[in-house]
Amino acid sequence: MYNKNVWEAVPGDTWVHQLDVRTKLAALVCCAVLVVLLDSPRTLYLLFCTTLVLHGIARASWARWRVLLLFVMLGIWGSMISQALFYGQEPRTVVACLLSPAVPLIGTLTGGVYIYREGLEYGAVQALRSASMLSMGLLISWTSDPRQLLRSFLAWKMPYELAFMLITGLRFLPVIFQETAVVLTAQRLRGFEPLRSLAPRRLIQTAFQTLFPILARTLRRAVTLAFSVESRGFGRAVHRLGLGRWPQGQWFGCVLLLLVLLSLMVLKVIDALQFNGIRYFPELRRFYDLMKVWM
Amino acid sequence: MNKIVELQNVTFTYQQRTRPSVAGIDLAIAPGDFVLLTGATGCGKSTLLKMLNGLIPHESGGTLTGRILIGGQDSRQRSIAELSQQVGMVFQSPDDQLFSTTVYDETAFILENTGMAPAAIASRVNETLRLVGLPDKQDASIHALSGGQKQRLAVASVLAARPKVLALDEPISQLDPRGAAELLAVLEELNRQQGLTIILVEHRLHEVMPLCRRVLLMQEGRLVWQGTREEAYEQAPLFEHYGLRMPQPVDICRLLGVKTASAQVEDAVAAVAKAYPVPWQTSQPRLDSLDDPALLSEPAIEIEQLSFRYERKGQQVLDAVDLVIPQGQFVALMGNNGAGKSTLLQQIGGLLKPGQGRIRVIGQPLTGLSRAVGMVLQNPDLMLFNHTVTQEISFALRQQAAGFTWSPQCQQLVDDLGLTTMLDDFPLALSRGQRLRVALAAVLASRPPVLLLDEPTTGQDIGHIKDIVHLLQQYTRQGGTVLFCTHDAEVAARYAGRIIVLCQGRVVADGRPEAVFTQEQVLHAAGLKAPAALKMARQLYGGTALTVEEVVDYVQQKCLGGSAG
Amino acid sequence: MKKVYTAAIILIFIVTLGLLGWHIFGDAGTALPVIGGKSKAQTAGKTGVLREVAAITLGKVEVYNYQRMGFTRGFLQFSPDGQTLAVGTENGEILLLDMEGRVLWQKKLGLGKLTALQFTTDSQALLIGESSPDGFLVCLDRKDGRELWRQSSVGELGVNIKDKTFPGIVAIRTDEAGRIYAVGQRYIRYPDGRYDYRGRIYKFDPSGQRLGMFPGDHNLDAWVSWISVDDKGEKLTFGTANWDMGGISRYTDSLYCIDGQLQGVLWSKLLSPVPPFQNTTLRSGPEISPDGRYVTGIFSDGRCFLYDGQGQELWLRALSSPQKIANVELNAVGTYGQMAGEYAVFSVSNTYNRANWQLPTPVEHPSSNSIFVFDRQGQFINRYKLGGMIEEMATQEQTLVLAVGRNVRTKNPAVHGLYVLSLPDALLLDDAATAGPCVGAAVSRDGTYAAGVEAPIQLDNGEVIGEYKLRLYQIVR
Repeated sequence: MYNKNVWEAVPGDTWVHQLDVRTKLAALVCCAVLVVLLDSPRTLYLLFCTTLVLHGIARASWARWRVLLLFVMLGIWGSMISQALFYGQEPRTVVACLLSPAVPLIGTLTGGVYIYREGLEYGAVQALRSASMLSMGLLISWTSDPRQLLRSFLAWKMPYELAFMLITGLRFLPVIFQETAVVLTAQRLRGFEPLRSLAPRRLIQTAFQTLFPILARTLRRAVTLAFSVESRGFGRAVHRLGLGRWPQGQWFGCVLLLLVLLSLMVLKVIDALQFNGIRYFPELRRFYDLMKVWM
Repeated sequence: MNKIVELQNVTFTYQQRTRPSVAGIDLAIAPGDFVLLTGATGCGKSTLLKMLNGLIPHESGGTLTGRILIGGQDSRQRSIAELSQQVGMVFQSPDDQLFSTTVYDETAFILENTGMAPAAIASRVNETLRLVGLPDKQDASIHALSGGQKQRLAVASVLAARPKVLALDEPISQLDPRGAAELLAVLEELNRQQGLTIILVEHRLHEVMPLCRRVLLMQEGRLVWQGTREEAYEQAPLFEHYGLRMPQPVDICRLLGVKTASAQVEDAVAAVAKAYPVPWQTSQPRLDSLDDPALLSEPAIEIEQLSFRYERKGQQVLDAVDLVIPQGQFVALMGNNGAGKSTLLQQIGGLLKPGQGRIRVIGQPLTGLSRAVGMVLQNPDLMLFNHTVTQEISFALRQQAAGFTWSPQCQQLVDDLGLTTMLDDFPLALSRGQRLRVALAAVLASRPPVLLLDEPTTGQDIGHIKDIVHLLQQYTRQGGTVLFCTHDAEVAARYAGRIIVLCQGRVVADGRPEAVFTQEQVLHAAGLKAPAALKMARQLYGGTALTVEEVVDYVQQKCLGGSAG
Repeated sequence: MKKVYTAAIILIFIVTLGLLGWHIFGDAGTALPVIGGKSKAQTAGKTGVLREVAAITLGKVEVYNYQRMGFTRGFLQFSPDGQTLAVGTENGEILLLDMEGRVLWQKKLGLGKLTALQFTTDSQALLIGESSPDGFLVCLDRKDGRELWRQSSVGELGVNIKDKTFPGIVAIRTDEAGRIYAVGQRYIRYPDGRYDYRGRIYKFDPSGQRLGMFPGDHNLDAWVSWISVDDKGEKLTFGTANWDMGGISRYTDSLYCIDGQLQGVLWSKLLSPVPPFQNTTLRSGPEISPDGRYVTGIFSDGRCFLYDGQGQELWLRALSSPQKIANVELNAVGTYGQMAGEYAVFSVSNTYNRANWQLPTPVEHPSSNSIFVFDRQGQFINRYKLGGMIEEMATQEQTLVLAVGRNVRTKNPAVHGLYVLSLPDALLLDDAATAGPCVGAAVSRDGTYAAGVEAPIQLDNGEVIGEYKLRLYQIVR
C-alpha cells in the first residue's frame, strides 16, 4: 500500500487507458450522481461490480487490486458493522444479541447491544455507494494523465485553484502514501509504536505526528509543482486548454450517458412526487414499477 | 553588451518578511553565456532565479523594486506564460515538477499551452528529447525513469518551447553521480551547440564550476562577487569563506601558489608540475587491507551471506553480502542509485527481513527493530514530527522512560550541533541544514551503539557537512559505529575510515579510502569517481593522498622541505 | 508472503461480495430445491404423510412479533391441472414452480402490493391482484410470466395519492367457462377515525374484456374482501365486514348473493349481532358450492351457517360464543368456512380479550384455534384443536391443509407448521413443523401436494426464529 508505484498513474494500452479523460470524468460524474440517485441495493451492487470490471479491463496490477479491495472491504465492513450496531430507525430486526439487557450494569446501562438486520442492509447500501466512487476515482487516477485531467476540469469551468488543488492532491497521493510509510518507520525507529494503544487520544496524537511532516513536505512539493506548471505557460491567468478533439464516439456516448442520467433524474423526481403523495402519473406506471425494483 | 537578462537595482521582499531576500542586484547576462549563481543556503539565489521567468512578482506576492528585463522587456509587463517562452525553469526535485504520465506528454505540455498544432508538437518533442538524450523514451512512464533521466526530462519539458535562457535551481542536488554527470553533459551540450544561455543555481561548485563561464556569488540577498570562472578560481578563499567548495585541483593550485585557469586534473597537474619539481613517491602506502581486525574492537555489525529481493521473482537487490564492521569505525557505503545501499541500511536497521543470511548487531542476532541501531533517513523531514526541537530530541528517551524530560547529554548534543538557540522552534520550520541536524540529534540522543545515515550530505553545504562529520567523529571516538551512504566521494575520502562499494547488490570494493579509490575499474563499474585530489596525487607523484591538504603537504614537504605555505 | 496476503484479501473480498450479492439478489427463489425431485422427497412430518420436496427462500421481510395484529402473508395457489404452484410474496414477487420445486420464472410486481393470486380455469394464466394507485388486475402467461393484459379499478374506486388510500383487487375467482370475477376494494380512514368503504365486483372474459360490474353505476359502500362463484358462473356470493357502519347506507346486510351477470342481488341476509358484539362481519366467506346449491361461511362472532342457493337457512351453529371469565370478556373469532364435497369446514382463531386484543386472557377460549366439520344436515362430525392460529385453510374433498401460526396467548412456537387433516373425520394425518409461524397453505386439486409459507417471528426475548420460506410437500397417503 505504501508502494508509490501502486498509486501512480501509468500509461497503458488498454481500452480504459485509451479513453479520453473527458469521457472518464463524465463517467465519474455520472457515477457520482448515480450513487446519490439510486437507492436500490441491487443497482448499486451492479454499479460497483461494473467499476470492478473496468479495473479488470484496465489490467490493474495485483498490488492495485490489493489496495482497492482492502479499502473497499474496510468501507463495507466498517459501514455495515457500525450501522448494524447503531441503527436507530424502525422497523429494525434483531439478528443477534451481543449484550443482553439482562447483564448487570453494562446491559442495563446500554439497554442491550444488538445487531440489526436493517442496519446491516443500510450500511451495505452506503458502503456500495462509497465503494463505487472509490473504485471509479482510483480507476481514473490510475489510468489518466493528471495534465489532461486538469485541462478537462478547466474546460468544464472548474475554478483554477480548485482544479489545481485536486490534481496536486492526485499527483502527490502516491508520494503521500510512500512518505506515510517512511514517517511510520521513522517513528518505529525511535521506539514509538503508533498502534500500541487504540485509545482515541493516542490515535489522534499519532495521526497528527504522522501528518505534520507529510503535510510540510506536500506543501513544499505543491508549491514546486505549481511553479513548474506556471513556468510552462499554464496558470491561473492563462491556460490554453489544448485538449484535442474529443473522439466523436466517446462524445456521443457521454451525451447519451448524460441524457440517460437526466432521464433517471427526472424519473426519480417523478417517483419522489408519487412516493410523497404529491402527484401520480398513471401512464408512467411501468416506470414506477421499474424504479421500485431498480432505483 | 547584448543582454538577454538584465536586473537593475532589484530588491525583493517576501510577504510577511521584514528583510529583503534579494537586495540591490544589478546584473547583466549575455546571450549564450553559462552562468553559475552560487552562495550558501538561504542566500537568495533561488529567489533571484524565480525573477527570471516572472514567478516573482506575478505569483509570489511580496514587494519588488527595480527592473527586470528579459530580452529587453520588463518582466512586470509580461505574463509568466509569455516569459516562459524566453526563460525555461527547472527545479531541484525531479519528482516534484513533473506532471504527466508519459515522457512525450510531459515534453509536449508547454507546446500545447502555446497552441501549437499537434503535428508540429510531435516533431518538436522528438527533436527535444534527442537533445536531452531521451529519444527512445517517448512513450515511457515518467515513473520508470531514473533520477537523472527525470531531471533531463524536466529540462526537455521547458526546452521544447525553445527558450533563450534555461534557468536551473540546484538540479543535481538530488542525483547520484551518474545522473548528475548525464545532466551536466546535456547542459554543456545545449550551451555549446545550441547557444542556449544557462543560469545554474548550485552550491556544489566542485561539480559544476568547470562547465560555467561566469560565476555570481550571493550572500544575504546581495551579489557580493561576480566574474569569470578563472577569476573565481583566484577568489577561492572568498568562496570558502561562504562555505562553498571549490574543485579540489583549484584548491591545490591555490594553496601551492600556482595559477590555473582550469579545474581539470590534467591542467592542474601540469601547472603544479611546472612550478614544483615533485618527486615520485617511492614508498607505497598499504592499500591492500584495513587495519588488522584483531586490533580493532569487537564487531558492531556482522553480516553473513545476506541476500534480499523485494519481489519473489524480482531483481536481487542484495547478493550474498558478507561484512564485519567493528565498533568505533566510520564507514562510508557508496554506489550508484539502485546498488542496494539503502536496502542494506534498512536490513541492518531491522526494517527489512533478510531473504537469506543473517545479521548480528553488537553480538546479538537481529530479529527486527533494535535499540542498538539508530537510523537517520535520507529525508530527515520525515523524521520530524514533534512540536519543538526539545520534544524532538527527547522523543526516543521519553518513549523509553515515562517522565523523562531533558538530560545533560541532550544539552551537549544541541550545543555541538548549534541548535541551542532554537530549542523551542517548530522543527519543520527550520532551514534544511538545521532540520538534518535536529534529526541527527534526535537519533543520537538515545545513544545507539550503531548509527546508520542514509545520504546525510545530500543538499547540505560544506559547512553543515563539517558540523555533522565532527559530531559523528566524536561519536565514533566514544565507541559508536557509523555507517553512512553517500555519493560524495570527497566527503567519503576525507572523513571515512573505510569505504564499502556496492554494485548491483554485491560488495565490489571494501577497504581504506585510498585503496578503494585507486581501483579505477571498480569505480567505473560502480558509477563512481575518485576525488580529484587523489587523481592529482596519482598523476603528480604516484601518491594516494585523498585530500587537498595531503597533496599540498606532500608537494611542499618534498619540494620546499617543510610546511611553507 | 505478499502472495498469501493478496490471495487472502481477494478471497475475503470475493466472499464479502458474494455474501452481499446473495443477500441483495436473494429476494426469492434463490435457494435450490432441497431435494433432487419428488422421488427423493424427505419425510417432513411425524407420520411420513408429508414429504418435503423443496424449501425455497422468499426473500427478506419485516419481522413482526406477537404484538402485531396483522402478520406476514404469503399467497399460494396450485394450478388446477396440478402441474405448477404459484407463490406471491409480501415483497411483490411472483414465482412459478413446478412440482419438483424448480422455479420456472419469477417476476417483480414493482410499485403495487400483492393482494390476490389465482390461476385461470385452464391453468394457462395467472391472475394477480394488486393494491396501488391503479389497483390493477394483471393477467400473466403461465409459460413465461409475460403480461397478457391488465385492468385498472381506479376509475371506479378512485385514489388519494396524498393519503395513500389505494384501490386494490383483493379477491379473484373463476368459473368453469374461464370467466374471471374480481373484487376491487378501497377503504379510507379519516383523521376522526371514521371509515369509508368502497367496493366493486368485476367480471372479465379470459381475454381481459370487462363483461360487467356490480353495482353497475356506483360502488359498494361496504367492506368486501371476498367473493365466491359457482362453476357455471350463475351465482356469486360475498360477505361484508363493516366494523364502522357510520358511512354505510345501502349495503348494510351481512352477506349477498348476486346473479352471474352482475345485474342485481338475488338475495341477501342481515344477521343481528350477538351481544356483546356490535356488528356481524364476514370477512373470509361466504363460499358457494360448485353446483351453486349451498352457501356456507362463519361470522367473526363464531356463528357458522349453511344456506341453500336461494338463501334459505339450512342451519346455523354457534361454534365460539363470547365468554366472560374472571371478569374478562374473551372470544375466538370465526375465520374460514368452506365446502369440502359433502361437508362444511370451519375454522376458529386465537383467543382475544374483548377490551383490547393484546391484553391477556385468564384462559384460552375453548373453541379457539380449532377446526369444526359438519355435514350438510348440520350434523357435527368432528373437531380438531390446533395449538395456534389457523392462518389459512385449504380444502380438498378428502384433505384439509392448515397453516398454523402464532398463538398470541401461549406464544408457543412449537405449534407452528403445516398440518394435514383427513376429511370428513378431521383427523390429523401429519404435520410438518416450521420454526416460524406458517402463514399460507394450499393443496393441489388431486390432494397429492401441499404447500405452506413460513414467516419469521420475533419472540418476546428478541430472538428471531423462522424464515420467509416456501415449503412444498408431497402428500403420501
